[in-house]
Amino acid sequence: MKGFAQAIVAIAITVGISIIAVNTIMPIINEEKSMQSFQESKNSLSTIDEAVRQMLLESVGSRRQIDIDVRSGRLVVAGDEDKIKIQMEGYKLADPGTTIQEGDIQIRTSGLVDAAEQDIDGDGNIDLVLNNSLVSFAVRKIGNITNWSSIDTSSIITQIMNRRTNTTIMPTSGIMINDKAGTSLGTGYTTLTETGINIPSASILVFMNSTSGTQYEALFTLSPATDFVELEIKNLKNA
Amino acid sequence: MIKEIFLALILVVPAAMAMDANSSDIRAAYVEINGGGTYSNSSDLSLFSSLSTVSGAAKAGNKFLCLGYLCFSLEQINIRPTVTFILGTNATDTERAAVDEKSAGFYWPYELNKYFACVEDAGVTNTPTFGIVFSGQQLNYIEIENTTTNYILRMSQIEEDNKFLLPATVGGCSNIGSKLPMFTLSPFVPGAEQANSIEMFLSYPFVDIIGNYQKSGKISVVLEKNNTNQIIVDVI
Repeated sequence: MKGFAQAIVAIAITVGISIIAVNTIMPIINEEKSMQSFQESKNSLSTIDEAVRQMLLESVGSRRQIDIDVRSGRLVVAGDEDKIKIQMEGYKLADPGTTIQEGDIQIRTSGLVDAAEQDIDGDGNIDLVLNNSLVSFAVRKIGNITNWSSIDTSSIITQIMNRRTNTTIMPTSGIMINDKAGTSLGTGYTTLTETGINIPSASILVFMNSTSGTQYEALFTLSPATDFVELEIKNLKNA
Repeated sequence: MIKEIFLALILVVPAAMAMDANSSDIRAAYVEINGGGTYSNSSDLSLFSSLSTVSGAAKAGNKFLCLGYLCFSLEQINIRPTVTFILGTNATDTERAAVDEKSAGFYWPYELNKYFACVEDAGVTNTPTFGIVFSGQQLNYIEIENTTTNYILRMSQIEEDNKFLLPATVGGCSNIGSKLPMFTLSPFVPGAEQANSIEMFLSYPFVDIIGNYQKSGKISVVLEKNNTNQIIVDVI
């Protein structure tokens, strides 16, 4: 009888130790899997980037096919933003709103951004609105990709709202190339690159075919948990 | 006699001098031998104290660069385009605008320690602060114009790898300045939001990327160069 009791105790101890071991090891295994997926995603983007940069030096018509496996996330080709992204859930690398540059890859900790069309200032015109927890930013909706309308960059920003102080400014603005007044107005359109609630990031694209003949795009991007809007002027032609 | 010596010296070194006159912004387009005497439109010329100063002393606005009888016609080449963003706000009694904590005015980069212009309102709780922060490769200038009713913030930078940040934050202009230079983009004043997802991305401001896709799992990404700076991305 005594031997039976000892056997039961031994089994219980063994099972207990096993459970503790599994509970200890599994997070480590999961963490390693996560890190492996993270590294694989970075490698995939590096491969794509290398191909793109090589092709820029090659003649028109050059072509590449790259096979990748995005196991824990999704690949996003965002043509309006001229970006190629991989979005992944379940990672906390840095404080919210932080963007880290690793070579040509930028890694941004994500949160929540809303992007929608609405009349934010009640003037009867539709605006393109980006919201995160700290900032609301709106640009007037003008034309579309097939039907360009008049654009004056001095009046495209409808409002910038500081949500922490509930302070809103309705600024005048302006974008100029080489400080030439004729590049700040012309025809074109504004559009949201993505719409939705709780999305990883969103941008407003302004396409300008200016009266001076210069063409360019202005990209306003609001990232999650940031208290600023990023602006890049890109695809400049005939400057 | 001095003229002869000088001419002999010029004849020995003209090729080297012409090469030296080139830079990314200026080039000596051709060489012209004048008949001698004073150049008729000398008021537009810059004088150089010695031959050794020729290589670095020309200004973009000068039309000619002369060494005695030898004149170079200068023309501007490869001037890199600039992009300028302007932000104007109403000025209230409690608002203050600043460029790198300096007062309103026009500033070249060498006059500034930190590249930003901002407007703060200390009359409102937490001092709401708006502005323009440089985050590109090369600043051109920053200007704040102060009218009776408005502040006009103007920032110009070289187009290549340009980026402006438009903060809507708290704590005043000094708070923005204390975060600069910003090697990693992060909020000027973090909020309370938590984040457990990431977005890693490649950005090509100089390439027109064509395509809009979202896909997971095993994917074939097909890239095709369609134009000089245009790449079509297909996802299969």
